[in-house]
Amino acid sequence: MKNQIVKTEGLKKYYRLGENTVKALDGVDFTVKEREFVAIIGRSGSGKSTLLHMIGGLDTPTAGEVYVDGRKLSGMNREQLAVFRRRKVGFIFQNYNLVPDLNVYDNVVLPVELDGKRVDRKYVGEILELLQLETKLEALPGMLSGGQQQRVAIARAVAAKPGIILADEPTGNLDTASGHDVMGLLKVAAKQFQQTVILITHDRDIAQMADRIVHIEDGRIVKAGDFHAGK
Amino acid sequence: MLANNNRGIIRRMAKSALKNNRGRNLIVFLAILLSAFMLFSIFTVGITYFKMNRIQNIRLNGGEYDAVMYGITEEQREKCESDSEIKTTGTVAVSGYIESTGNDSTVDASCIWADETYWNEIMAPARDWVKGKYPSAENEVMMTEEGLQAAGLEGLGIGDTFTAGYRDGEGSLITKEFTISGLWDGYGVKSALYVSEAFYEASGYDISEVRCGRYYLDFDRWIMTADEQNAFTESLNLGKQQALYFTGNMGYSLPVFLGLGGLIFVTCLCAYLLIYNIMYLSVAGNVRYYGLLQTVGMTGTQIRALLGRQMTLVGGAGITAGILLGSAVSFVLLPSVIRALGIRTGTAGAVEVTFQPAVILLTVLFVAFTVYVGSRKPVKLAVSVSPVEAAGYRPVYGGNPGGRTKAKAAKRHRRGRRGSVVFRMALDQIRKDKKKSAVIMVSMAAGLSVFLCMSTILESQAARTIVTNHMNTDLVISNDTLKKEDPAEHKDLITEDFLSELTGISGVETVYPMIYGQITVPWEPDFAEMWMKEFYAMWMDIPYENEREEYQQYPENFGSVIVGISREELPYLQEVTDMEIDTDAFLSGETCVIYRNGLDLTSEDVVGKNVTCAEYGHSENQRTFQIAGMTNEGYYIGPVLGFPPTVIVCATAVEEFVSDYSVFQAGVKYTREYDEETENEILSLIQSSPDARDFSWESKLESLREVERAQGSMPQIGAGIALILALIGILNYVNTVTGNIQSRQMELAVLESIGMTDRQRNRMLVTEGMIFAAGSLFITGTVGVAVTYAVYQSMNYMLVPFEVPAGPVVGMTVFIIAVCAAVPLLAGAKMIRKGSVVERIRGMSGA
Repeated sequence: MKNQIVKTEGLKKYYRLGENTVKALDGVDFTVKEREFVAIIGRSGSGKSTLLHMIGGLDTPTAGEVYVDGRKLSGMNREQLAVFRRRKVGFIFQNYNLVPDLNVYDNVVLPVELDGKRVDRKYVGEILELLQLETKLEALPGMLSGGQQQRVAIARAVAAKPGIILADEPTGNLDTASGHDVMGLLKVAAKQFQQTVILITHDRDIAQMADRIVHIEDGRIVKAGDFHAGK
Repeated sequence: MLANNNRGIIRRMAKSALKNNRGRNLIVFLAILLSAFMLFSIFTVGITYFKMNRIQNIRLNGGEYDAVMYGITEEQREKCESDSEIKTTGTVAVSGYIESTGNDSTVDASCIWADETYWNEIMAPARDWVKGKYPSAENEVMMTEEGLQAAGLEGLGIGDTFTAGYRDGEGSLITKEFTISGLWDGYGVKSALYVSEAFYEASGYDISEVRCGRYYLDFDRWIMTADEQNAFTESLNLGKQQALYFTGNMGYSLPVFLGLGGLIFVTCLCAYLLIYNIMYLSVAGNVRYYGLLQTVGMTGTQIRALLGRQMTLVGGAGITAGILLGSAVSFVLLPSVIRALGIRTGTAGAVEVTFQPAVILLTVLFVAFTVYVGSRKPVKLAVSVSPVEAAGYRPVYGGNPGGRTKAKAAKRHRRGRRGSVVFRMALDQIRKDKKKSAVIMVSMAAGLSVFLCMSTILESQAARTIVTNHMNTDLVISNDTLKKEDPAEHKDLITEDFLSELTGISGVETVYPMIYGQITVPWEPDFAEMWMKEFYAMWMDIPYENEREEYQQYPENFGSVIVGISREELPYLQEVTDMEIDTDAFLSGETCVIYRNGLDLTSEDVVGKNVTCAEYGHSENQRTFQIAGMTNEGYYIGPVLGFPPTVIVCATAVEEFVSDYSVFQAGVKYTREYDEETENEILSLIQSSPDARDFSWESKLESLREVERAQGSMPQIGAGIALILALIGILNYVNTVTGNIQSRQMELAVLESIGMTDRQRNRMLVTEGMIFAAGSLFITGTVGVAVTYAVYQSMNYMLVPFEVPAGPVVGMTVFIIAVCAAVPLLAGAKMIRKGSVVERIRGMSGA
């Protein structure tokens, strides 16, 4: 039986906007099992990205707890959170967010190098080959297409062998074909390197590729199903 | 086509943009204010500095003139008077030397006649006050209170008379009763007695003689190159004895002018870079907004007008505030500073900071132009970017990563594998836009170089540096009686007892006594003949041939002196002698050094030759020395300067050779330089002597005070300029780096999101700062030092050796390293406080 790798308890995130309080997350209880591929879907402003950022330790909750691999994030300071992110989590953003001055190879191995570890060239080579980037190693992000940049982002996310990949609208800036390509590669990579994926999207087609889809609306999980279990 | 009247909406939008972007506009406003303030202050302080420099020269020269000629012929005078480039000419004639008064038998003061132009125009700016009138009768004199005191006549005033013995042009000693017709004070030769034209005419001196005539020239121009000066000198057909000297101000006017021009240029460059960087960063950071305006239908012209209006409002306010601030500092604070430093306003030599409309105009024009040029590129960017591109625009600090070639990228990749990832990323950041990085480094280096240049010049031209005595001793005590022509009046004042008492004073480190004896140099066909021939050609009006016979037969009529120095003083004599002296030969009394006395003889002419000396009055007692070298050091002249050479040997040689020798002067070195207490003790010792009046001394401490007084607040103002310029360079760095970090906040947030810790980010930012610091210091240490050297040498009319001051350099280095490390750290910390990683990523990406 698979273990729970992510767990949130009564997670709340409120923002003050003028005189109003915006409830981005309003008591979310949510779990993800190891090597599971979960898609979180919801409308714009529903709180799905906020949830992802809480899980990744990028943002702090107003109330509630986040546990990743059994560790409570709220007890960690900035330094510990940074180390947690580079060891446990791989991020994929809609805007790719690659470092523009570093070439493909340097971008991919950046989290490993930041951790002061020796780069496992064989492992990185496998990732790059899988993501069809082996010919682009020395290219700078600005020289690549959107799809290629997102593949670099995926490679970077898996390079440090994190347990969880958090993908925030990874296909949002891509055309349909490229989007499906990237998703396919993400799924293959996650499976090959035994990683858990939490994906955010508002594209139902993309979400269909996940093991499980979670609906979020107005900061609450309204429907969590195992729609495609076994897929 | 009729233009749409859209001024109203543009005005409203500009106003609302200003209101909504208060923070950004405040930075731009402050940048413009600061630049306008700096330029205004530099111009104003620069002008004040220049004025004070001129005043300093007037004070040091004792008058306002550009050149002085020794001896003047009628033909030369006519030429100068008809020269349209010469504004004023004034004549001064040395008309005798006072040797004694009723109260002091060892007075050393010259009688000078000054013509009307010299007294009323050239000398006037150097005088503080005049009481009475310039002498007209033959027995009238004009003096300073200091001069009266030096001649033992303190307490006398206008209308009082005194008797003095003076030597006229024929060499006769005349006793005369003088009446004081006036008193003055100020700068110049204060011991002199200004006499009437009638006195001069009866004196036996003639202004055509080099020993008498001084012709002062004030040119009607600021700048005169060395070539022009040489051409002018040549056009006067100077005689062999005549000389024309340009003052420091005129002689070095072009380099000084160029130096000031360079200073203003560097200031302007720094200010331009500061404004440009801020404007670029502020407008570039808002390009998305202008893209959106295009989306809703705003034309390029309207965007230009909108930005133009914003810049006009912010720029206008910044310039006005900057000038007001500059005015407050320049006109309110500066005079107070000058007054506090003891400069008297309203009298000769006073400096008042005056209203300079040109400075305001120049400041406005420059800053306005800079604002215009600085915002042109960003405006162009805002106008040219398409609405779609604008929506996705992310300000990137310089460069265009997408524009790089694969080869370059590959090269970067290969290079990039060395060192830690943090260091590589820091280095990449610098290399990313080499031009921009170079601009920051150059901008900082420019400020630092000016600081270096100014501190080097200020340090080297500081009173402490330019005031030096012989061998850098603190006090040189002389026995004035030995200058008397009549040996009967000679007294042995610096005796063994006096010297031991002197040495016994606790603050005295070393005493260097110098002895002398009177000698003759009998004629011989080789050296003596050559020397006398050259001496007459250079200094005398009568040909040597007329006097050779007398010299051959009666050498005692051509007396000279032999000077004996201590063993401790030999290293210094070596320094000022043009040939290597064999120490053993010199100390054993075999060799000597000759004082050159301004003759055109070279060492090759004399070294190796023998000079034979005979004891004065005992011609049979002769001794021959081989000449080891020549020196121009006037300290070794001895109490009198004869026609034959002054022979410098070791003290024991003098003691062995002549029976009648005595100490004529002694240099005193204190344990602590400029020690007032020790000096007072020595002066008390002198005053306790019954012959106190017959002593004279040159005090380094007194000279220091005099030079400090003459320099006024110049060093402080110079230091102010240097600090302001260094501040501009640093501000530019601060602005650029904070702007850079601001524009990189998304990139930094991304790095944070993938696990870069605060410590790693700080290390990266500090490394970047250190690279900037190292680059700036490297440029300052190479180009800056070279420029400083060139500027220094062009202004170094005091011929002070070039030396970079260690204190300011170390201070500057530490300060720049601290600033370069602290600024990115603080900017990074400020960025973190702005919001969480997510907010920062969102804030920039708009996701």
